[in-house]
Amino acid sequence: MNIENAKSQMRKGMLEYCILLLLKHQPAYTSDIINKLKDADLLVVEGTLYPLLTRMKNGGLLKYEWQESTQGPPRKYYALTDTGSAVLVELDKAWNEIANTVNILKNIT
Amino acid sequence: MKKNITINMFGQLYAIDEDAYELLKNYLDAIRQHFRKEEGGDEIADDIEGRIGELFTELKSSGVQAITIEHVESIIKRIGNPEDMESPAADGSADEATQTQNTSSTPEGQQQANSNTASTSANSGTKPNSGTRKKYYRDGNDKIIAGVLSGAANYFGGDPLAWRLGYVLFVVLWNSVSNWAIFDHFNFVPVFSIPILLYILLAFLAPCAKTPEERLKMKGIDVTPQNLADELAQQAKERGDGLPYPPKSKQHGCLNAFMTVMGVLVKIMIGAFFLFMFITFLVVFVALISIIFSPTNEMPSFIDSELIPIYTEHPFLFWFTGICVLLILFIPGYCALHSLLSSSGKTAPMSMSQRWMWFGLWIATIIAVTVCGVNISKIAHKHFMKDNTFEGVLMNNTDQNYFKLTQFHLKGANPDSNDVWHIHTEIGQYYDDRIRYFSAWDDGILDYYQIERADTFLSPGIYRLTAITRTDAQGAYLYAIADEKKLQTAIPANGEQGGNIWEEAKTKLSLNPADSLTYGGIVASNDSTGCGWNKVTLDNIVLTGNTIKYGVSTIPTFTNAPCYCTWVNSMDFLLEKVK
Repeated sequence: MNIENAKSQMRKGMLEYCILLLLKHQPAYTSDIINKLKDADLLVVEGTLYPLLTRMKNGGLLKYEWQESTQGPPRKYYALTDTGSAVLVELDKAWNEIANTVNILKNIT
Repeated sequence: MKKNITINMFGQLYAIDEDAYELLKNYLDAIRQHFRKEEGGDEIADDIEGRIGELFTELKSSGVQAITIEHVESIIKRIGNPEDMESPAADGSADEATQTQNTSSTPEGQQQANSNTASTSANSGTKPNSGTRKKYYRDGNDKIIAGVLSGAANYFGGDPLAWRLGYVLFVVLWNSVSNWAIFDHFNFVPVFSIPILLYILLAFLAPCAKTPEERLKMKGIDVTPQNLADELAQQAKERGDGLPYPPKSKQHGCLNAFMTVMGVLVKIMIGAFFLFMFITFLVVFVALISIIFSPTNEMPSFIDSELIPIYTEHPFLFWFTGICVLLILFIPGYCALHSLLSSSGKTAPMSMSQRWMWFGLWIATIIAVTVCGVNISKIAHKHFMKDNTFEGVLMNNTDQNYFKLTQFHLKGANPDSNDVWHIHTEIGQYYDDRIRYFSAWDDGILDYYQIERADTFLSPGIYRLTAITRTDAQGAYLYAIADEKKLQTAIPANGEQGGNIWEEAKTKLSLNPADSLTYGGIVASNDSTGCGWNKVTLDNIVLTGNTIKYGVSTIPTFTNAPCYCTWVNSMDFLLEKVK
């Protein structure tokens, strides 16, 4: 079994959930999302994020508005939609279940 | 020193090196290509482009004057290859394949990200990825004629020089092999030139690897931004060194010089070939045009007279074939010109569909001309047979004229021998080689030959027939028919020696040496052995009516004698009235 493979699959699976978590309390620029995910070691290449954001936006989970920047081009400012918040609640539940299961499995021995 | 350009990204201007720009453009193109199929793909690509702009702005504010290729490389590493950008789609299950694909490239991506950016040209990206299918390209950077063989070396592996030498050897060997009897069945194709035709075909149909992307595909390396960057860096290095070819082919200096000389020679030959085609094209073109504009709408005199009946009887076939011939000559010329222009950057190279279209059209015209050519040759053959047949036998015009002049007719001829000039007239073997005589020969027994002349409006009386003849065996007769009564006498079978004419001349000359003007030549002929000619006489031909038919025959049913001879010559028939 390839450890890198398993790790990257885990990361990928969590990415959407983490983005929703990041935007739960305040909206953020794409670059902020990138930096935070990178800090959390969830993102290897930045490019992964853009298709994901677009898909989540198209799926109605996210919305954005253009914000003028003092230097450089205007930037997208992402926020959760109501659907996004609802999905986040669902995912929270799912995550707790998974975490529970994993904990139970860990403590079995 | 590097050329620098300014680019505009979302209203922001950035100074960027030209090679860096090229890499960036390739990268963004690859991204757009990658997300093209996806919903919102343009938006994703725009976002990434925007991110790059953002990173450029950061660079600018940190004091970078011009963005270099290293900057672009590190940005690309940061953002990642398009292949790495897949993420779990909404339905999830369909994503299994891409995920496993990703995992193979992600560690590599990390590893490359960790490695020193400056050393990219050292590892030069030559990590042929097993997942990438090599594509055949001609190598535009390492070519002697068209880069077909260096392309093959890239595709199949091996040294280009080895491929070139191998090919030259192959052409030579093929030439000796093509003489083998088995190829007789394929003689409609110039068999010897098949390897050369293959080369030309590949040179025309295979694309030339010019862009870094194509060069990567040619080498079978994944087209990723990193590899593109490496390829660009390598090319820049080669250009900087002023080397026409990659350094590796420089190792074999002497052989390479030889190949270069060969290349120049071949180029000259190709040039000569195209010149020849061009001249042929002009000749055919002028011929066709002059037919259109000639006032009588007739063929100009310089066109082969055998084509005239084709033109008058089958104008459509004639014109169609003519135009197809023009196309056969025009298409390669046009394509060669186009490739010359595109290689010097004056026009865009032909697209694959255009190449295939021209190629298909060319093949179609070749097939058309072949089919038409067969028909034309059939028609021409028909006309030829019509013009060259005398009384049912194939005979050229000289022979026909001799028959007509001497008023002889063919009474017997082998109907099977129509393809061979068995019955004809000759000059050369009589004592005076300007004198023409009737001749007939056969591989076997000549038992079917008869020539005859009829003299009419004769007055009754007694006639004598003489003729000068020769044959090689019993069975040939001089005959005369008067009042339905046949007289005949055998032609002495002296073969090609002696004969009574030669004997007589010898006697006359020995009696009177002063007669050498008349007889000397006859005596001396055939190394003083004679040519076998005999004067044959039929006496006492009694005529009460007015017609005598006479001639030479070898037909046993006519002569009532078996025939053993294989050839007969005859001339100087003379019918005299004796009384």
